[in-house]
Amino acid sequence: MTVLLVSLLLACRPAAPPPPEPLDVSWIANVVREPAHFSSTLEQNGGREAWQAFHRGDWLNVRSPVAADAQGAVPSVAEHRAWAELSVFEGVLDRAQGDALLTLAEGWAKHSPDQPVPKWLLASAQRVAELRSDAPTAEKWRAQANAAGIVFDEANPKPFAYDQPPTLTIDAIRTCVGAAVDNGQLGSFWDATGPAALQQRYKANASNVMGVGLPEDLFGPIAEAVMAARPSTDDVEACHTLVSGMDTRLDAWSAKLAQGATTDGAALLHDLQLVQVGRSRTLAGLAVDALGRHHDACALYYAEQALDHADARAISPVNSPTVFAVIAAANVESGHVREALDALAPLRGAFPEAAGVIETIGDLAVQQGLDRTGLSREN
Amino acid sequence: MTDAPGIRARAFAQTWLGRLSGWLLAWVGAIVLVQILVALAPGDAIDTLPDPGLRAQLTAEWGLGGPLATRVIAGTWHALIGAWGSSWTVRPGDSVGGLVATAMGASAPMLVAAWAVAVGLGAAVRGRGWGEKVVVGLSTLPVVLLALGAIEGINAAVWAGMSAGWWGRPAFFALPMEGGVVRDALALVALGVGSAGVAAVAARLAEADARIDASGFVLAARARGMTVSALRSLKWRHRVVPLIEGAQAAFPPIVGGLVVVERLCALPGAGDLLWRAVEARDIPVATGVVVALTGTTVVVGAALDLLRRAWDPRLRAEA
Amino acid sequence: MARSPRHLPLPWLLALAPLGALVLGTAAAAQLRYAEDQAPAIVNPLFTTSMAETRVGELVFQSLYADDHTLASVPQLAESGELSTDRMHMTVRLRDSVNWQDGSPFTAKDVVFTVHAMKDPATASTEAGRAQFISDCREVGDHAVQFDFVRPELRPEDKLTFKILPAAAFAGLPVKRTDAFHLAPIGTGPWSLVKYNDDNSVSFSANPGYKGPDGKDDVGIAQITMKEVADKNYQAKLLLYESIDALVRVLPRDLAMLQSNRKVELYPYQTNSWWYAGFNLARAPFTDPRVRQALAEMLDVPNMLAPVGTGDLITGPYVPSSPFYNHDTPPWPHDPAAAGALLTAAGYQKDADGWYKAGRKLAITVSAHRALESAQEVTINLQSQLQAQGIDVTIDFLDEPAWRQQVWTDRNYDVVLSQWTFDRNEDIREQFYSTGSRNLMGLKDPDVDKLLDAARDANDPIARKTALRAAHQKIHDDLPMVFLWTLDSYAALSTKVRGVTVHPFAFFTWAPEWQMQ
Repeated sequence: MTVLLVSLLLACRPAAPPPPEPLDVSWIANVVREPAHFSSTLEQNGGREAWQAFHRGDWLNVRSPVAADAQGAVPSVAEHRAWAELSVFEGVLDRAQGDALLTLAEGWAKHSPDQPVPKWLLASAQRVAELRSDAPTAEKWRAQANAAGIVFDEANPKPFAYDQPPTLTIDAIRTCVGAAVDNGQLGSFWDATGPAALQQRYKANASNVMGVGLPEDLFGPIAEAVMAARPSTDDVEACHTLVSGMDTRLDAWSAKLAQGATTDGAALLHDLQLVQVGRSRTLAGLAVDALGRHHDACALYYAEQALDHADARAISPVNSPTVFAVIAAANVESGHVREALDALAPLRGAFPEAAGVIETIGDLAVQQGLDRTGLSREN
Repeated sequence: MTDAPGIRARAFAQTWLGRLSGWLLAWVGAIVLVQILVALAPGDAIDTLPDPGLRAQLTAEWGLGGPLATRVIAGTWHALIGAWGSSWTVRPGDSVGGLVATAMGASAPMLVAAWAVAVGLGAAVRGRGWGEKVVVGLSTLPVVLLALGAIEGINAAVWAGMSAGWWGRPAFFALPMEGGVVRDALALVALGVGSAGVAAVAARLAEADARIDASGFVLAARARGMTVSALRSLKWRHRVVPLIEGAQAAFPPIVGGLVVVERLCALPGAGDLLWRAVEARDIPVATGVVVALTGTTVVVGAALDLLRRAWDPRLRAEA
Repeated sequence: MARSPRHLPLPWLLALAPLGALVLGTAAAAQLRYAEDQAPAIVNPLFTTSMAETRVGELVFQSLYADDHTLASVPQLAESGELSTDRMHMTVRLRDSVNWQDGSPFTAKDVVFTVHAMKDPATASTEAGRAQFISDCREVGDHAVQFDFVRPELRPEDKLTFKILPAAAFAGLPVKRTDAFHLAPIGTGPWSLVKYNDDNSVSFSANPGYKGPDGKDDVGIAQITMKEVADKNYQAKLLLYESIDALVRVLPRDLAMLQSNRKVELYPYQTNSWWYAGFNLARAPFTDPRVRQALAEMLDVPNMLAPVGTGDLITGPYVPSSPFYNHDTPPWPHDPAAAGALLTAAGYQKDADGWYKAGRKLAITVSAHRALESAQEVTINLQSQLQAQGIDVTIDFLDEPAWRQQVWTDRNYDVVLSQWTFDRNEDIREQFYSTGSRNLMGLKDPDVDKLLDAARDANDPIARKTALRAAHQKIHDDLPMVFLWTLDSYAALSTKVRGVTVHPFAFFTWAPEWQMQ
């Protein structure tokens, strides 16, 4: 949806008069006032189906109206927007998986002292630490991996042999990750570095054409003020105050918006859940930002506020994949590993690489319960 | 002639012995019945406890292993001699006597007030055309419908007003969770109006009015030019007995309605305690409450009977 | 002169009182009020039987170790612990600054007494299982206890999480559930139980002498009241109406309503619950797997779920987000034709009226707990689906004692509709092991037993995961029950309550940090 904003802003800004009031600077207001213009913009920038896929969070299926594999086909704005979203999403997934993997490796000796650390885990831990430029940790696991007989190919930083190197197209990654199954033996396991590699690829593709849209474009001054006022510490109460203030302003803003809407504009506003989607994407932006600053409690708060809890098990226009990924990453960080798995469940079918992340975090959840007694109750 | 006082005394004694034995029978019957019903309902008190060790221990302690007849006879005997024991599951270990006394104390004002409402309303609307039809009509609705309807209606109306910004949140809002005068008044009206007591009183008084209006003494008084107010006073003297009979008829349904209204209105009291005891299969507590409630009903019935006879010399003569 | 009763204003005044009072008063004072379906009958951690009692126990009592915010076991009443090299003994040093709520000091005697009470068969504690790993324990000075274990323990602090009781409050062993303690329980926890109120609510006030771990001795909320609200459908409304401040579990269908209210916040909570329709494997015709499969294939499960709320369908005894869930196990298809063929193979013949075998019509009774939310909609749907396919279905709603007796004790049922909820360990052993205490269906499959044994004995996560995924598949194939769905589970709190983090099982573990605005 942020993509819609950016594209529409690009399309509308030159012709638009100076905004006399806050409503006018937001793309949602433009949609509501000029639905016909909105439709034509969609067609020009990727085709309606591509934008619809983008809107519902089905980012892997945002395709140009021309054949994707046609020689010289120019990717649409919609596709680039999808790549931009995917690069953020994969970055968060990578964070969650890396944290889980290192914790799993660190906890092995404590929970399973009679069992050697599996080779795939030694190798993965080393690789993740290396990708994070955490030299001491990487060296620690490298030493253990070497002691276990794992020889790293220094020329090829990926120590694991695929049938062929991933080309980093979506289909290739899907095949690659789908084939990487195993029972713990080196050479066949879930690719711990898949999300990181995908993130780089998506980011590169997206940045070739355009920058990432800023969330403040959604609601004009409201979102701008929210972003500017975000707390500088990991203080959930401050986050709550921020979100409450945003909601209050948003309620008034959307009421005003509805009053000035044309019939078609009002229908679009309602059918596309534009205000809810915009709110969710703003909060997702805040959540990713907080996660990047290691404000995990705030990240979790923003992301849970972004979710449509009445349908929290499905990716939807309101529930973007990034929101689920942030909830998972923040929960892994705070030790609520089982809850992280709940957040990741909706991603399982939609993103093949998520299966590997889920397996890793699942292993960590099982490890943490090895010494505990379970409780159950009826109803 | 010399035998007349003796005959009257014997007749009086026979009548009252008969009545007393009837009341005692009803009382004991209620005690037996509640035990049988609770015991026959699927599941025992120990079934709420999953632990096998504890279940075995408590089955023995509570005497749940024996035949039903033995348990009921023993339970009835203990109830009658006041050895009510302690609660099994509602308040484990608490004295049933204490629990019941507290609960009856909490219910007493509601019981008396609702009874007064039923009798007063029945008397107030008698022969008042539409007013009577409406109130008596309402009185035929079960307590449960009246109470639920009132709770839902008041909550919805208040919430609508709050949402529209007409008023703030009143302290009594969210019935029946918030206690206070509104909830008590609601329960009182529901119990007083909804336990058929109003209809019983109104019907008896209407019947009495018809009889009085057609009676010779009223015709004679009118013929002699008695004033309206003097005639009204005269008539009321003749309405006292039907009023007592109406009150007598109104009391047992109100006691029954107490269980429902206390539960629905979240009011503490004997009715609520009985409900909980039955739900938790706590036979000692259920029996204790029934002993107290039916005992009260019997005593009130007997007292009103005495009052009726004391008021009306013809009834004394019949006896 | 007698006054005419028709002039008495009392009834009319009473009837008008609610309207008159509309303008009175304001909202209740600042305190945390939370709702439970049923108030706890007693408060004594040795006899905890319900989640309501667990939650109250969390307010009043403490344990040697407890979950911190990262769900790791950290010392609570303990100061530190030292595990012997053979892992058969552990010496736990206790905090010496802790007092019971009556002012007496907390000592090693209390810990030893609690463990002995739990293990004493005459006490018959419902928590006895949680102390089974301890063979003995003894005081080592006033503030140290030594535990001996039955077998080597890797992380015994993960199990030393049962609540500790004050020895001086009891006459000795055994402890009885009717001991006066439950009327005025004394703990070391952040709140003390003040009173059981007449309306069945329970009041708690902050314990001024509370000593929290890491020097966090402050309790943010001065008063807590537990209110009993038997009608679960009404609980969400009470939260909206600001008559309560916290709801421990929200019905899925209320989520949208609560989410749209700016005065309420939702907290994801306890997601490891799933519904099932279980067969009595000891009773014909459910002894025949073809009949069970036929019934499974007659059911249109998504259609049954629709009125309940949003949820995920499941194929085995785990929720889909569980690491043990086997995603390769396919659901039983909704295929009435194939179901009919299975019944025919099982010896049934269909006529216009229904399915018959040896002159008897195939008819089943579905039993459900009365307190199971939305059970009515589900059972009616199930009934109409099966009846449309020629099977008579009778519905039987049971209250708690009846449910316990018929389903748990007597196993007197055909099919039960129910739900299991697990903590994050998702241990299904008791539900499906041949001798499991909660194996209500009576499944006896040696292969399942082996897999559950392997999972229990596994000391690495991969082995446990692999064994339990295989168990998922096997249990699905055995079909002791039709696995239905898992629903979203949330707690909801008023935005007046700040700093909220909810423990995924015990709810109030971190409540001392909550604040009321």
